[in-house]
Amino acid sequence: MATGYHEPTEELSVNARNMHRALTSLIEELEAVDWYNQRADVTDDAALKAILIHNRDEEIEHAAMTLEWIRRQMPEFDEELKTYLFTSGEITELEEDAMGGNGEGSSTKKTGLGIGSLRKGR
Amino acid sequence: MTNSLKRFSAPISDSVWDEIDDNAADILRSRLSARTVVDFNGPLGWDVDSIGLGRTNIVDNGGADKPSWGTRQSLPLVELRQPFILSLSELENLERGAKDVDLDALEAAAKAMAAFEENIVYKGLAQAGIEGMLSGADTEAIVTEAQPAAMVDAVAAAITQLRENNIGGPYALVGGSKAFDILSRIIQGGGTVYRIVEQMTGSTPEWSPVIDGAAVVSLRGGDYELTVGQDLSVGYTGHDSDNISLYLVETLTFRVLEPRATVEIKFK
Repeated sequence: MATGYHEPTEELSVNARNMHRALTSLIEELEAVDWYNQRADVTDDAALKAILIHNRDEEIEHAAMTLEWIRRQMPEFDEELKTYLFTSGEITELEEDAMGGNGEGSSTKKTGLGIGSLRKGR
Repeated sequence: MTNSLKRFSAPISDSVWDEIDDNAADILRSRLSARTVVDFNGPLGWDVDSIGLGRTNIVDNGGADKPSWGTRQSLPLVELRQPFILSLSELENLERGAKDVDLDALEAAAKAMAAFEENIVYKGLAQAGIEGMLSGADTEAIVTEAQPAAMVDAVAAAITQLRENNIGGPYALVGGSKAFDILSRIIQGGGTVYRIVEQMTGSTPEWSPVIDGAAVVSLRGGDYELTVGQDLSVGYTGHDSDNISLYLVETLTFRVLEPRATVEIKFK
């Protein structure tokens, strides 16, 4: 049973409880990645190191699968991951780029004045 | 891909950015007459360097045992950048609700950018391989007195010349301040020159800050193409304790596809 609820369980929707399970699982997988990574880093036994790295990488796979489930359920995750993942360049400037010149969102996200064509009827 | 304008790094709020953007856009819209009459291609993005012209320059005709080769023709985009400095304390006043904030530097920068774009479109930019609507016009300019009746006659003659060249309408008169002064006059028989010209051309006259006289242009489309990579945007450079350094930026180029689609009107 998932624990760590911050609100009365009976008041939470099915979706919120499932999301809690997924987020908790993601946290656990990432913790496990950290643990295996630290152990692999310090061991002086090459065979054990290889096993720990293998296990760490398994946990990374689990974390990625869980994150993908979360992305599919929560549009805000989807939007942010699409903005930041698999990109290059300054991470702090990616949001600006992602917003394009459409003038949507906050001003800091905006990149153009949206002038375009001034032909009448366009 | 759009240009990183580093707006996130600026020490100003979204509402101040909105105010800066709105002010810049208002000034630019009122001064970018060319965008009201030419085809607009874009915005294509900051990372676009040139547009293809669909032609090849053959360098070597080759032979039986070697291929011919040439280079594809393209037109590079021109990058315009106009820096300006605003007072941070004035921008703070903006957040307090002040309505008389000093944004003169922004206004001057926007006017400079608009004038540059207008000049490129009407007069060309030889260093960038750009021919302008007026500088590249293959029509006979009409020279006339700067008087209401003469202006009406000149517009009629310009439209006739366009029709004779099989350049269809509707048309538009684009003119500078002198032309608009004449347009605002009442002509004998009633009505302003503005209304008469509007009826003759089929569209409202447009004011340009860079044209000395005027021009009658076809609006049928396909004659002139303004290509924009990064459309006009405000970016952030840096700041100190008193001032913030910003800039207006744009990338563009312009092509005359039909040099007979404009007739210039020059005042004596």
